[in-house]
Amino acid sequence: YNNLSVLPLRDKQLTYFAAVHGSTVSLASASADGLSVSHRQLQAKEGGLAVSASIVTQASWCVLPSRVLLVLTSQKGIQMYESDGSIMVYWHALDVLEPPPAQAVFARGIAAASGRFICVGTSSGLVLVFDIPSKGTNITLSEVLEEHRDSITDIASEDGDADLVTADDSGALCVWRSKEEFSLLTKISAFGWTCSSVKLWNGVIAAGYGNGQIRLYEAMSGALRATVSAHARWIYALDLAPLTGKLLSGAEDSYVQIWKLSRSPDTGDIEIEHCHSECVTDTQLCGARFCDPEGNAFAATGYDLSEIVRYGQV
Amino acid sequence: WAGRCSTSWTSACGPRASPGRRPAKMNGQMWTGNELESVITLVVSSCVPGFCFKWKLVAVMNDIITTMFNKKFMEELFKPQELYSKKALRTVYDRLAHASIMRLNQASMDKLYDLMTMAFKYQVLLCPRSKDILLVTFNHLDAIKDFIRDSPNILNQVDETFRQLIDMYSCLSAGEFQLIRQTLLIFFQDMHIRVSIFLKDKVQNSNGRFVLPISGPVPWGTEVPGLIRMFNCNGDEVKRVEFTNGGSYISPQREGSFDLYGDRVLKLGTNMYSVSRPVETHMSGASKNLASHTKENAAPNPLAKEELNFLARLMGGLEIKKPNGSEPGFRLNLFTTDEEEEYAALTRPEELSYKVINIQATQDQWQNEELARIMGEFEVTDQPSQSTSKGDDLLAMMDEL
Repeated sequence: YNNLSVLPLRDKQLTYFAAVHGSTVSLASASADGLSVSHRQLQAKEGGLAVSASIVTQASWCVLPSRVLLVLTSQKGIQMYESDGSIMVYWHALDVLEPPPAQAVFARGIAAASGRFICVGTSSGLVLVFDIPSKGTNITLSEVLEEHRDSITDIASEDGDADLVTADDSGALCVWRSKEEFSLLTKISAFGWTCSSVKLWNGVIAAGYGNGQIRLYEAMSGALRATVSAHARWIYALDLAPLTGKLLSGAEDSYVQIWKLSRSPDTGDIEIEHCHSECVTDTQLCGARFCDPEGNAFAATGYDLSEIVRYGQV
Repeated sequence: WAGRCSTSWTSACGPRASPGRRPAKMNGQMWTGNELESVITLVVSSCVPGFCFKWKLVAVMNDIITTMFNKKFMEELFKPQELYSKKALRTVYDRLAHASIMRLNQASMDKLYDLMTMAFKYQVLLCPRSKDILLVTFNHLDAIKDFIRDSPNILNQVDETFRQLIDMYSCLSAGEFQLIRQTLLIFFQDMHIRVSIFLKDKVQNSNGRFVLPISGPVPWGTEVPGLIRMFNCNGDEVKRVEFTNGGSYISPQREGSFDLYGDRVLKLGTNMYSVSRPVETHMSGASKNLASHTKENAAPNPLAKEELNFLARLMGGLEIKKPNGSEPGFRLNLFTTDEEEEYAALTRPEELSYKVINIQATQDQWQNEELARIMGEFEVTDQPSQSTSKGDDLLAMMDEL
């Protein structure tokens, strides 16, 4: 889910894009006027061995105060690179049992948390928490969160009382707080559909589901605050522009929808309004992201599409 | 098909062996292997109309279906395993297509495979719900059962497989079905061969990409987009807002049946050729995607040997029928003339050639006696220069092709 990741670099006037395509990740950087500057391709390979490349599930930039890492999850394990994809700084292999089990094995779901961790989900429902030093390769697995029983689909985080939200295949959501360790705050039960994408903003959880619905929850209590029949097909991606509360959703129905989240300061009521529809003709969207923290531009990728389509507000 | 069927009274010409290449692999982890079966059933589904010799058709149909639903073959398919490589799939397909007295030349075989590939890709892509890929399979099986409704033995075999599918797949969650669907779609990624029946029906654009409708019924379980409902902290609904999402959708009528018999509702997977139509496929102009896609890892893969061994076990269950002198053979040509067929074979773009594995074996390589016997009977007309390998490594054998 959400095979696109975007990293805006303000000081260099550049935007990095990473798109997953089967067993490779394509990195491209573009300047504001749209001219492509460089390309690179990464594959999920163990160390440098000539093992067949496995399918990459996601690639995402994790922004920490001291550094930015590009994290790749695949059927083999988890790789972390420097932000330009030039050097791999860490590799974590997923346990593969012999003989291979009937269940698929993969990692999926990436988020930076609390300024010092990177959390990655697995197909068994475990969430691996990695401790990231401010520089160097001394990355360690510090904690394993065991709460989900189904494959993790997505993870989201923000600074606040509720730091982390994890979502799984059954549609269940777990909300966590991190002090020295992560503790479970609340659990939101599934209603029968996969939660494929989740975002956290201002204490509000935005979750996208396989039946095309978006739901908003209160992060601290887990209470349902809004339902939106947003799409006619499976939602693949949600993204948030943290400075404005804009939300975008991309689905297999070929639409990107833009929404605005708001929270009334006195009543605490959470509101969502629809801003814009964009149809990427004949394309089942696989990824969609805002290109800047205000949400003035966004990009989308689709199945069988070898391009990244960019939209800007005029 | 409106392609010419010529009855050839000489003995069959086997498929022209394509020159072997250093094997390249694309391994994907897979839930189970049953989609292969669905993929192959399409050849039968598209077999029906247009044949001039109905009696031959019945024989061909029975043979192919009997072979396909062979108990051992099905057992192997149902085991949880990785997705086959493209080469392996094509090889099994070749064998199945030749499980009767019907023969096809390389060009027609390629065309048939292209057609099957794009049709199946279309069906998987357009499934409204991830679980609908199972309904597509059931549509395939329903059609097959209709072809052999007068043969109770084969019908039993098919029903047995049907039951196994229901047992294994009915309880999977939507997320698990979506993973299966995504893995299948990755397999078919970047293939944009234009199929005339799709172009005519406007389900495919001239650039080879499929048309995705933004109207019609939403999938079962999805609401028609357009409504926002907001609740207060007590759970009471406090506000309702409508918006336009851009498409024009309506509610679905009913859910398709997942039982042995029933109305599937979904049309995907039903016979595309229920009205007789011409069969044509066009290679789209060499696209950049294909060029990068075929740059596969050329290093020998230790897992490739495993796969070839597995394939060999599978082949053990598939009989190759060779028409003997007295029984007329049956050659199918999917082009309008023999010359056109030959021309197509010569001009097929390099990157779209299918690398068919030709499994050569010496007697002592195979534990499977049956396979050894079949291999021995297999008429090898095109490769007098092939020397049987003395090595144990299957991979080494392939290298010598």
